[in-house]
Amino acid sequence: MSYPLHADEIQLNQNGQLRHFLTVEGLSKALLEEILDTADSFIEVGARSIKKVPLLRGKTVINLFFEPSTRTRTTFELAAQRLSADVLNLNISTSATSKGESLSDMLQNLEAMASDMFVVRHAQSGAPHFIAKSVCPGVAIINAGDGRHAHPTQAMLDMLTIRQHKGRVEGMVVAIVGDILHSRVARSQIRALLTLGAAEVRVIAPQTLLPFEPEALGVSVFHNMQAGLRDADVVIMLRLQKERMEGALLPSESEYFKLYGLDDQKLAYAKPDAIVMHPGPINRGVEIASEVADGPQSVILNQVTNGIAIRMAVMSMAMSGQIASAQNRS
Amino acid sequence: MTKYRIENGVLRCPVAGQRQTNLYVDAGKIVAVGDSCDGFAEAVLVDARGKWIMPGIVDLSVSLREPGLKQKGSIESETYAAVKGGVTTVCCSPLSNPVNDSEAISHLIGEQARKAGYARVLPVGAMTSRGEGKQLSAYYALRSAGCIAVSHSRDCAIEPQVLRRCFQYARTHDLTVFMEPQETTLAQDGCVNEGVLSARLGLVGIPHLAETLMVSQSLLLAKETRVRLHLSQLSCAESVAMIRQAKANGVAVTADVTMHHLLLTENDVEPFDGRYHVLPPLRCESDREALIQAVSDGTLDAIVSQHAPHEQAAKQAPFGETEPGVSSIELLLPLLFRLVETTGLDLDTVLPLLTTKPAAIAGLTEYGLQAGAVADFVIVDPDKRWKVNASEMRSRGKNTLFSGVELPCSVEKTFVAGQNVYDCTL
Repeated sequence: MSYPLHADEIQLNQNGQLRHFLTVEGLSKALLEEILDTADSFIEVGARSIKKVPLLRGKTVINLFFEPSTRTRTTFELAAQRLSADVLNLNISTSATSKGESLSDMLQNLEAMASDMFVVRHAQSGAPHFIAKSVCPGVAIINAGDGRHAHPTQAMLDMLTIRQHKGRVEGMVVAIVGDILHSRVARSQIRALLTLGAAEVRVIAPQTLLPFEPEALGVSVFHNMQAGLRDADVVIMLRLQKERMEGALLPSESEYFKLYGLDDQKLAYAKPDAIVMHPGPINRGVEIASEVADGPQSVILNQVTNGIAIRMAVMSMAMSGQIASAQNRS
Repeated sequence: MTKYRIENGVLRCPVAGQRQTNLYVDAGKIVAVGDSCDGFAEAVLVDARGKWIMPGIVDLSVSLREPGLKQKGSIESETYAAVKGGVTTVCCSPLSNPVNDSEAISHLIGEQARKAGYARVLPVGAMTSRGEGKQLSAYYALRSAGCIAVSHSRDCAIEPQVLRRCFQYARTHDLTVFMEPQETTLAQDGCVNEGVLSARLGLVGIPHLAETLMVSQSLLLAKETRVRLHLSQLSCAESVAMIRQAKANGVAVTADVTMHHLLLTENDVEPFDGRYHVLPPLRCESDREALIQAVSDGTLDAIVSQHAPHEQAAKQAPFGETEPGVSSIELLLPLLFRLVETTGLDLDTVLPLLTTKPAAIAGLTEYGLQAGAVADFVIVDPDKRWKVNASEMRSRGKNTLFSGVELPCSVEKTFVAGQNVYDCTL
């Protein structure tokens, strides 16, 4: 299935450099590998006694979170600080828009304060695209999760983790388990895995948690863990929002865990050296058993650490792309 | 009233046929068609050599936004946009603020339209009070105030029992029922087609079933109540298949499709660009092909603009938060020529769907380019190509899907009731 790529032209400047990071879709394998390589180079910064590099010194980064988040916002904040940026955190749900100000007006005001980068989380799919394209084209926009659409930095930190533990992404058989329908993480993971040459990307879920035509995403579809996990190199468990357990999507937590929750028995279907990932926060006993979450195959905490390096990489690359674009314009 | 002789134009009319001739207009009517007209002394001579004269377009689905939504458009601005697009009669949706569920609002719309003096406006009343899907509107009063039909909007739930009574009551008052078929719980929060696009972009999809379930229900109720049913703005292959079958079974049903659903699919959607937020959503290529086939074989009876002008702010938001709809009426006739140019359809097949057939659904008598008909007609240059520039549109809404697109025909003059209400040279 080929997709029109025109939507993603806004992410790159004339030289093909990243100037926004909105989605993995449409980005080349070389660019994704550049992100991973740059992140690799930042990992040691976190081990230093003074955890700072001056790449964004004098730049202003605003975390615009229209949805609550602790983990993602914190890692973006840490990443920006380690790049020496000035960071402002705005919890929008309790400020401007509640006074009736439109999103456009609010962003234009923030842009007018000479901000350089917005890290955006929003409940609406495509909100960062809208901001980058229509409202703030001169500010680097990093998507920190939009609706059901994309969570590209999460996907890239997952790719970094796979590369660290398996040596490569190319040729891997990856199984993604859980709520694919509502998951922005899964959509970005699937694109990143396919772009980086994964041998097969499988999704495992009941039909109620799958999009209408999941095969169009380029994945194989399984409703059964035994078949879906067979010979998998990587098992990615998705968080299952408990509010979705009720109603017509799923009958109960216990039935879901019985069929799709990852325990030692089900993990044994995968390759013996398979790694287990989870974007967090995890629901123990709902989508994953404690013995697996804390077990030897789990790399969940590595993912968290890698999140800072990936976000540093993306922020520094996007800022440099934005500066190059501005110089070309002038 | 000014008397016109339209000279040497080529008539293109499903009623009067095709030939080069003169048209004689007096007192709001076409008094004669032919080489000469005894005793006719025109005040104004219009040279139409090289141009086509077509009957005025009848658009069954238009939101004029007045009363209450004048930031989006007014009856004056949108009826002027209509005549610029060759539309001489608009059937005005009840979705104003307040909803047109009363005699007073219907009168107000008629009065404002007469004052503006551009397109003829035929109001459509809300099927239920305040459009809420609960209580019958006053159909007798609506009809007395000039409403040609009652309609039910896709975004409001209505229970089968209420719908059945609406159909029964419409039949009582000889009113046509316009239905925008959508089962609201299946479409809840949706903004694009459920399929490849929704899977890829993570936007909430509207399944085909949301439309087809309501088409099926409406057809069954129409069969039982024997009301005249008009299904509006269809988007799915399965919908037209059901209508084809119902027509074969003798159900009194007609149906329309929007011009943009004949020209575009979900593959044309510029991701996250709110202009492409339309309801029903743009569907798959197989749906578009089925709709074109249904135009070709007569299953569909009309093509509509589904004109819905918006102020800029309504489309300046993340996709799911934008308001649905396109500003489209002033491109309707030129887009018909694009449809002919880009599909296997020919003009003689599609022209009745913008003229005689919707005129019949709207109850217009004395329609066409023959002597005795009301003088609603358009003069077009079929060879003049031009590019759509949204900022130059006369509609208050600039929310077009065709900005920058080259169109193969230009509307030169529009006449409504014998008055030259649009002239591209002025």
